[in-house]
Amino acid sequence: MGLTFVFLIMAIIYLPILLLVFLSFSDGLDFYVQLFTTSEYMSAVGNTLLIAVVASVIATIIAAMAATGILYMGKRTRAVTMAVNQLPVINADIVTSFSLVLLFVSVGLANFGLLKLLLAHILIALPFCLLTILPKMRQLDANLIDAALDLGASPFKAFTSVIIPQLVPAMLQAFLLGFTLSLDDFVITQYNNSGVPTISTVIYGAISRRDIPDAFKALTTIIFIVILIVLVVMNLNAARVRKGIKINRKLVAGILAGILLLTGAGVIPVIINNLTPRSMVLKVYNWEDYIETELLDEFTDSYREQLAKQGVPNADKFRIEYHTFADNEELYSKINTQHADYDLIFPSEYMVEKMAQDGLLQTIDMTRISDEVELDQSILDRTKPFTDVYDANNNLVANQVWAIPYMIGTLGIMYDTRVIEKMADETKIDLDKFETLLTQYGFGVLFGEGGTTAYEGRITMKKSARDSIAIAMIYSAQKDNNPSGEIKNAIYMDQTDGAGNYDNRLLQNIINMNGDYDIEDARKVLMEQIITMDPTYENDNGKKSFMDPNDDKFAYGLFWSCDAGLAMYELMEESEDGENPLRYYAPNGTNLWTDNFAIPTYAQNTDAAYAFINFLLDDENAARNIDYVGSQMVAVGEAIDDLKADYEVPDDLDNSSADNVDGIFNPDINYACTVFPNADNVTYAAIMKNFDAQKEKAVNTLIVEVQNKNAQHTEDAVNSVNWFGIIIIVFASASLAWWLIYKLTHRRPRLKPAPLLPEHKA
Amino acid sequence: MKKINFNTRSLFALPYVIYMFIFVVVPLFMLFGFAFFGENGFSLDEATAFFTDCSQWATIGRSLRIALTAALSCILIGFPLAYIIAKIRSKTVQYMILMALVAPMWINGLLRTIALKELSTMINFEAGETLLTLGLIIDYLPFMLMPIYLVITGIPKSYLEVSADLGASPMVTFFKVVLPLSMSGIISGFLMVFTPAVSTYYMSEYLGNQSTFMIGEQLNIMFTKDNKSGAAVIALVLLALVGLSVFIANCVSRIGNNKKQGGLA
Repeated sequence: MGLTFVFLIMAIIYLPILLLVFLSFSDGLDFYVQLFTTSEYMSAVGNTLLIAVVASVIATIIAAMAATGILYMGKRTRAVTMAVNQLPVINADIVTSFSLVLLFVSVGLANFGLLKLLLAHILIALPFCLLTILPKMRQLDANLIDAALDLGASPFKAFTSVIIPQLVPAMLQAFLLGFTLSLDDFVITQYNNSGVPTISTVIYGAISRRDIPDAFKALTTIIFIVILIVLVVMNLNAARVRKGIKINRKLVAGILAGILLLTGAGVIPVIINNLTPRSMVLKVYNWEDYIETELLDEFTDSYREQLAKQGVPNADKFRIEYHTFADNEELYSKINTQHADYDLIFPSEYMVEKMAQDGLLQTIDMTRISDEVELDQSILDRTKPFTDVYDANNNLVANQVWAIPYMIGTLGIMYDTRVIEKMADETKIDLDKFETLLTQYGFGVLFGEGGTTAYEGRITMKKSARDSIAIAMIYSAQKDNNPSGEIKNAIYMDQTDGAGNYDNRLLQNIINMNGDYDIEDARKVLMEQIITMDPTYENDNGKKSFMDPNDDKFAYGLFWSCDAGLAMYELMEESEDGENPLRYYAPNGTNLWTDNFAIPTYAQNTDAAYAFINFLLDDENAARNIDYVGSQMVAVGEAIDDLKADYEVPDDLDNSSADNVDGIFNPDINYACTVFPNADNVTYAAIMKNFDAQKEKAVNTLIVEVQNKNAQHTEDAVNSVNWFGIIIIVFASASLAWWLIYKLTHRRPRLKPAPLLPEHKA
Repeated sequence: MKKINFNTRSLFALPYVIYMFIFVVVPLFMLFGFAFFGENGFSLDEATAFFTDCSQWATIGRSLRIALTAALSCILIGFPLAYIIAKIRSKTVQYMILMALVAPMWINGLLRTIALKELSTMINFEAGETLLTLGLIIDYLPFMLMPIYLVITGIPKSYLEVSADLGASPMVTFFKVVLPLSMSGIISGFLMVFTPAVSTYYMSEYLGNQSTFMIGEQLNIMFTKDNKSGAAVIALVLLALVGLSVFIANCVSRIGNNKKQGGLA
């Protein structure tokens, strides 16, 4: 009975792990090959092991010394020391991590990479190591150390040859505990990482865009096997002991040597990597899944050749270190707070502006961009406001830019035709009707226009503050002068300049909250949206839910075109007939985003950065990249025209008319329209500007406030009472109260207990 | 013992003391600095902004409720588990089971959380408070198990024998001897689970839904948006919550032991 319970719990704990183990074989041994051949993954594993081993060894040694010292401390000093030791033990991880960030930033250690992580991980292990070693230390015979000192040993000698040998078992335990805690940690590593890839940061980068990297499923299996081996060895060893054979020192030594060897195998490549001169490494920091990975290898090869031609020694040592981030702010804090030394980064438009202002970017010299590279002038015209460089006298500097656009796209609505159709009976909106509503109300469907309140609880918004709030601003302006809420008559749609062309300045003011438009407009509609639509604020997790054919939770939501393109592409690849249930629509009057090449001030290998920019902008490489990533690049050329022809991108498309439903909503070309924003979309779109500190704070506060309110609102709905939690809490508090009352009312003076037998004196 | 060289020997603790001072004590003061000192000197703006917003209080309450549920469930599962394991005759089997229960931590916490999420989607179990609580329990159970196990195995066998000899049934022995003596383990286990649970952010992000927005997530948003003073205020609030729970736990264990000393870790 008892053991059944133990195994049941064990089963529950291991179930998710076994799922990964199972999935790791879904492609034969491919995932394993991937793990061992991808340099990013190998260096992540190596770094993690290196940090875990070194940090826990150091922590164990410091703790052993401390345990010795603490025994000889005065009572008060000891009490204070132990209280301080408890702090990191019971303090929340996130608080510890955050306070460490403050420390590192304040003392200017921000860019210390590996060393910083080591120092932080020692903190994870140290208090626990001390708590493990101290009780064992107390049991030691204090006379031994006195004897050693009396016999003339130096304190150091006494420590190493008298104390350490007796503490070995406790120290091993402490080491193991520290090692385990360090491997498990995510929060402290994430907060204090300035560009050192570890297992947890690589997973975090990958997960926000797609899925657990396949290679890490393989890694899970390997760790699982290691756990099994450890258990078997424990059992074998115990069997030997039972048979009267003494603990086999050779076996223990063998296991330790094995662990060290395995660690070494992971760590040595990292050390070798770190020994490569910086001029032989290109450090790139990009959005996850935002590049055709084969291009990285091809660039490495071609750049090696180029270096060899220039007579650079050891040209074949050149390599790319490619790391990924999940949002602009993460990028900003890596560069600004942590001073990471990336050579090439990919910030979005408003982030380029912010980083340029804060002196975090070098200008890009356009004369170093190859003549063969052709860029789409119409896009460059749009991005000029944030890429142009001005000197101290406010004159335009020729041939210098802060950034070159890499990819562009729109903000729009992705919907799941399957769910819309399934819900048709309930919502009285069929697919055709829904698509008509989209063209009619645009982003209004996220706010319940045209009867879409029927989708309450089934839509998503973005946690990313700028995007959700920009959409709220647009909708609010659309609704303001026009109670019908349609786009057609929206105030920003009929703006023309002298020449009769569309003038986007009003739209620009709206999404950047200038002029008559301020954040209160967004607050109002977002708060109303909570009541009418009960949206889920997601950070790319939503996309996974849309991609899962068994998951019917969401009907539609706010998405970037690149994410929508990626989701559709994946589903088309998976399905047999190349079809997918997802569609994407960007209404006129949206946000046009760009992600851009930029070179940070702290870059150390700009030559390679320029070579890489030239390589990616080459039209054939760009075409491959577009095909893989699913969003448009600024490069133009024959290869890209061919790709467009392949995709059957329509030349001319009326984006705003419901009559044209067959056009953009046609399943055959919707994907192409997602990858290549149509002309209308680009014309009727505005680009985000950088906010000043006050506005920035206002948007960030608002997005937290909205999520707070949203949680409160959903909680208040009757059907979300968590009976399980309430029962547990009531039960526990009742029993605690009963026990305390019992204790308080039964406080009789105790009889003096009989003296214990000597062996019981604990 | 104090006759020779008192100072030299306590100097062994010096590296530890220096390290802890720099990496624990100093950052703690920095939290206060960032929370209450803006560019224009002392300011309570961030703190007032936080405490006057009533939806913040709802978030704190929600975080407390979820963490309490998780920590108390961990006691309900962890105590019998530790008791059963401690009662197994073979020490080797005991260690093996403990090892097997702790070893999943070698697989990174984030990875395990996402694996649980995958599993739940696969069996159509909706993300939300229940899944989140389950995730917290599964993830932090070892932290509850270990202290209770250590305390239970530390109870001298003779106590139980005495109790039996004096005519107490196994049931009575359990409630009158084992349970009170394990209280210190339960309390330190409770704190070890409660603290990470109340401050979690990636778990609530992946396993929860729109109604499980927790205070840790809020801190994380502030941090990633580079709002250090706002984040420092929330960090202090979390610190206060943890401090409060330690205080309550101390009081409970004092009353429970009918003596002055607390039974913390």
